[in-house]
Amino acid sequence: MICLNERQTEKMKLWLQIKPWVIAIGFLLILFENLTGVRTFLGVLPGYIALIVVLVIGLIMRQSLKRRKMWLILAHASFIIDASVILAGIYFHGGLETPWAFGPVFVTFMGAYVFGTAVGIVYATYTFSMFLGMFLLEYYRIIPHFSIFNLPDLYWIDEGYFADSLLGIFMLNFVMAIAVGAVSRVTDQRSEKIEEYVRELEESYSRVRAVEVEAEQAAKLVEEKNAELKRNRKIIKDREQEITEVERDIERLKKEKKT
Amino acid sequence: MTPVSTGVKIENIRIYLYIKWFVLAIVFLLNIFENLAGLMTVMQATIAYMGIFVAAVTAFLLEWSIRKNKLVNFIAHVSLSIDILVIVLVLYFHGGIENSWLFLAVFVIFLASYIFGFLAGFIYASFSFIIVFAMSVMQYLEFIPTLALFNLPEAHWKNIQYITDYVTGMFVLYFASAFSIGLLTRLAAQRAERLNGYRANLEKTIKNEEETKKKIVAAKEEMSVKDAELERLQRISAEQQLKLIELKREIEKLRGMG
Repeated sequence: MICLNERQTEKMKLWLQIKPWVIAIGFLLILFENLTGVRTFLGVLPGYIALIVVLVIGLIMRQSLKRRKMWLILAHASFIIDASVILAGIYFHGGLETPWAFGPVFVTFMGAYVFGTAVGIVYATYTFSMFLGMFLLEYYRIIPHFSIFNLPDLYWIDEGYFADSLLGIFMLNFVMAIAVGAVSRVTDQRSEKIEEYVRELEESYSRVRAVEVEAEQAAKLVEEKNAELKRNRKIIKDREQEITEVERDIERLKKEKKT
Repeated sequence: MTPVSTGVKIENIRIYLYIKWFVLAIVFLLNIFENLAGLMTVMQATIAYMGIFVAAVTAFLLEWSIRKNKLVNFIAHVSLSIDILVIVLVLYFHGGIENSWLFLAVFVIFLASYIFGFLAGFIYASFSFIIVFAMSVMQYLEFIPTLALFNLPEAHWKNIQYITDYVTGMFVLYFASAFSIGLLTRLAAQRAERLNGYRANLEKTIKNEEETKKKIVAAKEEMSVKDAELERLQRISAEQQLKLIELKREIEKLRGMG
């Protein structure tokens, strides 16, 4: 099974750390809407369920990442499940009627960050296709529409409104995938450069060590040479003294001979 | 005014410009599409094109500033703030709270957070949110007219639940984006810092290596000088040896004669 590489694992860990906080904020805001009467309890229930499912998946993934390397397919499955659960939450929150239709963009965002632009675009395509599919099924009355603001069906089925909203969701998802992918690439390039420097540093350290050994040996040799020179100089000096003495002896003998 | 001096920020501003041009091109094409499909009136389309034009002018200004090396943080902030104002203004003329494109400000927040970090991201998120919130309240209280976008019989911008839900949604989108991008940017900046650290270490090691190599070369040169000296001394020693032998032979001879 293909596993996440080191860089993807690091990013996945970051996402799994952020995820509970994003869920907590979403939870608090839904609770706020519920308490202020913007939405009924039944209206917010799908939101709570979606958040709990996403949180549980996140916690399971976090545990599995702590124990061993994560399978690539499992990471993709987690993102797809997150997007699907958020889309299901949106469907029960009014579908195209809800201003929270941007929700799945966070999945596209993190998908692009962990896996790069291409995968981000795949997630954006998945999210948008699912959203479009959901809207079409609602539009043709194949599945029921859950109204949240007690407004007539007039506006979400209005051509202008739905075309505008769908284009907006399309743009948000795809631009986010490309933009986050670009940021991720910059981070990756820096990581690659760091790895390259670390490699170069290690090589350089071992080279320096070798050169230092060579330098030490050279210094030792110079020392030995110095000692040898000193020895030789002493020999020459002694011999000079000996020669002088011998010459003096010769002189003395010659004088004795003459006398 | 503080100049944008670091390479990282210039690099980030360049990315901002690429993304901005990309977003402008998409918005422009989508506007043409909506215009041709009759989804908006000529007046609304004109306002949208004007907004795109103003945003493009600020982008050109930034491009020019980078080329002329006159870029200052202030210009970058002005450009980002104008982007937000243009987006909200164009959206106001396109229905305001009725429009489902209020998310557009998120791209500016994204870029502000990317260029200037966490705090700037939160400031731009707050700025965008306050403008959107003020626009919604003023539209709801009818302090400013609502230029209906879809000509629907029942305007949902008059529905307080819808407005609260929409504004809350935008709050989450703006701040979560500022937070997420700020975090990613901080990671990227930490990487850049580590990168600089490693680069400095590497340069130091390479310098050390070069110095040690120079020492080796110097030692080798010294060795060759010493070798020559040793050779000379050995020659002298050999000559002395010979001379000594001769002298000893002479002394023996003299003693023998005696």
